[in-house]
Amino acid sequence: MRKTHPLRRVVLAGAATVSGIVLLLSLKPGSDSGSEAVGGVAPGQSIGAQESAQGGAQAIGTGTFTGDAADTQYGPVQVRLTVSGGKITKAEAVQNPTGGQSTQINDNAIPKLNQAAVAAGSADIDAVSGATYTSTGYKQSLQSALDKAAAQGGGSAEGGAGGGAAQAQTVTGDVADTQYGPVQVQITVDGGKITKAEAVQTPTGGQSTQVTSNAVPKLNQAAVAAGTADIDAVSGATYTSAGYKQSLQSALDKVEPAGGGAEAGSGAEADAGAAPSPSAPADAGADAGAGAGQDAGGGVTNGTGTVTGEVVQTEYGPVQVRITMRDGEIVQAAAVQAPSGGRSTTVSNDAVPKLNQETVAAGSADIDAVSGATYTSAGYKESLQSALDQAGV
Amino acid sequence: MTTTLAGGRAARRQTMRRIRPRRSPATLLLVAVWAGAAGVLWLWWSNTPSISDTTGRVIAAGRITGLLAGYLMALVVLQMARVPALERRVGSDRVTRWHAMSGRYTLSLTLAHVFLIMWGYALQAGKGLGFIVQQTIGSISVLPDMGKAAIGTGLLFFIGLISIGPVRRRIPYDTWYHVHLLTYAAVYLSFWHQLTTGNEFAVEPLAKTFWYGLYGAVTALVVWYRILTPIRLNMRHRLRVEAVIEEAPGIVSVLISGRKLHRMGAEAGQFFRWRFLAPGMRFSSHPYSLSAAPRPDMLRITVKAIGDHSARLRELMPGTRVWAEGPYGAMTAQRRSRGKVLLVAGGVGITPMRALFETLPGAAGDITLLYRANSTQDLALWDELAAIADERGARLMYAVNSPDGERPDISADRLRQKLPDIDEHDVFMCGPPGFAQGVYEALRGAGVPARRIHHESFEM
Ligand SMILES: Cc1cc2nc3c(=O)[nH]c(=O)nc-3n(C[C@H](O)[C@H](O)[C@H](O)COP(=O)(O)OP(=O)(O)OC[C@H]3O[C@@H](n4cnc5c(N)ncnc54)[C@H](O)[C@@H]3O)c2cc1C
Repeated sequence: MRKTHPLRRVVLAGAATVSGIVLLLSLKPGSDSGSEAVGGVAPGQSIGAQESAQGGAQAIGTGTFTGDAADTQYGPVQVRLTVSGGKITKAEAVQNPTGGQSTQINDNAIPKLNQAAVAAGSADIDAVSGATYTSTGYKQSLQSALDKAAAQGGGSAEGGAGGGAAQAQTVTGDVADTQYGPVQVQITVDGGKITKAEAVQTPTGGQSTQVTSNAVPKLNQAAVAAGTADIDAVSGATYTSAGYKQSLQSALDKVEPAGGGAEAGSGAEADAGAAPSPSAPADAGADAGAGAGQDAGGGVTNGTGTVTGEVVQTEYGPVQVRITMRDGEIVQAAAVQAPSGGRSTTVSNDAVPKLNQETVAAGSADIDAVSGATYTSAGYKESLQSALDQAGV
Repeated sequence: MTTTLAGGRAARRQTMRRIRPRRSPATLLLVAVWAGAAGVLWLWWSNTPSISDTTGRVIAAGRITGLLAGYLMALVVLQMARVPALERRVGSDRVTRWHAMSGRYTLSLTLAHVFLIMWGYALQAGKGLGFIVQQTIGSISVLPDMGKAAIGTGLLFFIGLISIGPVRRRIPYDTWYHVHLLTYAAVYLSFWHQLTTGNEFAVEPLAKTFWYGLYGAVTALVVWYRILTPIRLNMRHRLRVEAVIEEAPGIVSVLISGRKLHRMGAEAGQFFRWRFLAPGMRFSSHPYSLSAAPRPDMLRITVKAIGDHSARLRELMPGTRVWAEGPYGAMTAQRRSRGKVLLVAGGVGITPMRALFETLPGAAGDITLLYRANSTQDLALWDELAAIADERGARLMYAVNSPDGERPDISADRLRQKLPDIDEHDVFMCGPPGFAQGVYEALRGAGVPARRIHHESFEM
């Protein structure tokens, strides 16, 4: 029954809430500026087989190690490390949540996490704000990759994990035509398992973009989970699912049998990383590791392999193109970065698959811009050219 | 006729009971609410390693407001779940005020959350504040459960809008009430995006379990106390209108009969929400206090005609079925901490006071009733009150306007003069807001501590 002052209460509650939130925010530490400092080092360029191992760190083997996929709310995160001379020389996410806001968030977060992992040399890295779930999954998968590397470095005879990593190969299936456009699947097979599946081509435009962006991540996950092409169609995306399965099957057909020996390392296309065979002596491993680093960093030998072009900044965000070559020909092109967020996402979803197709068709950077996506097209061509330059084409 | 319900045996037995003051659990509940809020903030804190830039800060602020809004939303619904501990021990009127207050606050947090998160996402996309609308549309179309959340938020906003004082006063109460029920849909719709897009729930499975637990418990309480309990009550007691009696100009009593009414657990000072299953009245349920201690076969309410529903009660036919929900209300004998009690009634606020006057335990001279009305004519139930006063040796006073319309003097001095040991009393009070406010101040001036003034408002 005390006199109430409604206005005073409103002002008080508002002020208390605002100051409480501001206080909480200011008590949170800012992100470690140290991880920002390594920003200048392009991933994969610091191949240093001679560099001494980090003091006190667990002895880790040399080669390429793919961590277990860590499931997050928005999809799996999986990290692959290139380790050389006891140091992480490269970290990359071979799987990460996509679709909608996720694409946008991860385009921002993944490069930072990659850098942080290289800088820290351990899984003890800070989460990227605004991408906590991805960060957590990333750290988890990173830790598992490190564990595998450690198992190898410790001279353990268990070749399972390390040996699996040695035979990682990326295979692209045939294009399957559907009612709404082509579907093409690319898988990474590691230790006899599908560790990653992604659609390099999908129907786009109008409703298709929406349906696809919903269905493809599910199909990717299903493929990884099933390990075969025997996956369920995503309801509402029957045609895409059917095309996906078809292309996935053709990719699986192309996979070279596991245990293909040392040949697999150099012979496998794309991201194949060569690690020493489990039984190899430690110093021999170091040599092989140097090779692995180079390969993963984008080497093309005998006109075969994968190269990633430079990041080209456009008005709407960075564009970066990765191409896969076989016998001097471009067999696949993909944008590893493209403008996203709001309309950009729609434009990129539409333009990038077209640019990818044009590139494979033309075999050079001499491709037409996609109308309505002039900036992205220009950035794409520039990055593509730089990739071709690296490949020595 | 007026003595129908006076001085039953049950009532007399009640007057013999010992005084056992029961404290309201309000303080304890508030502590629990704050602890929960701290837990929610901790959830954010422990899952946010660092914040680097403006974008991070804006998104973090959006998450904090969102988490708090999600937490409070459940409590806002809980406050209206008609949980006995709240209705009978804290008091329905007080809980309703909490509900209105926390509802406004939660809605503000929700709007802040939407704005901050969308602004943060726009920043993340390298755009500014101007992009916020596009960003919102984009997020709604791609993020899981965001379509639902958007509809839910829209509903909440609309409900908030029609609950603003001037708007609400223009809408009939029942219309407003039924629109207000859409809140359940709104809360349901906005629940899912919290789990599917909420960062904290993605990283912390325990948090998800807790959230399900919170919302699940609230849902269970709502279903139990708002739906199942009333069904059981009405199946068991089968209430019907027995008679309608004119008490004073514009004031009627409705006698309601039923089976084993003593098993309802109703006490003097409490009220039920009544729905009379007569044509045109089925869809409104209105609160009216018991104006006499409940008898095993009979309840009585006394109602002043001030609007649609209250005016139509006089037309009720005997035999009309009645659907009641209750008992609710905390202004019962349990509130009392002392031997001496002053009851203050303003106008139709006499109804709960009349029931308490009859049943409050006390020796002769312990109980005093002060009854304020416009004129002696308007002193409804006066004969009954006089009879009770006689029988119990209680004091009965009234204050009415003078013939020239002047208001009676109810000041601290006057109260002390009439009741020299007034500061030894517990005071129970029920009346219109202006009147109650005036009396409250006079009582405080006369030395009655605030914690011993128990007030119930007829405004909800
Ligand atoms: C706890 C409590 C006990 C009450 N006890 C009595 C009593 O014993 N005797 C008596 O005459 N009156 C009592 N009232 C007041 C009574 O409920 C209202 O006067 C009545 O509901 C008015 O309805 P109406 O359609 O006649 O008038 P309207 O003109 O529709 O309403 C007038 C005002 O009454 C309030 N009101 C209307 N409907 C409701 C409702 N369903 N629930 C809550 N508030 C409503 C609103 O504030 C509204 O602005 C009590 C109210 C409360 C909250």
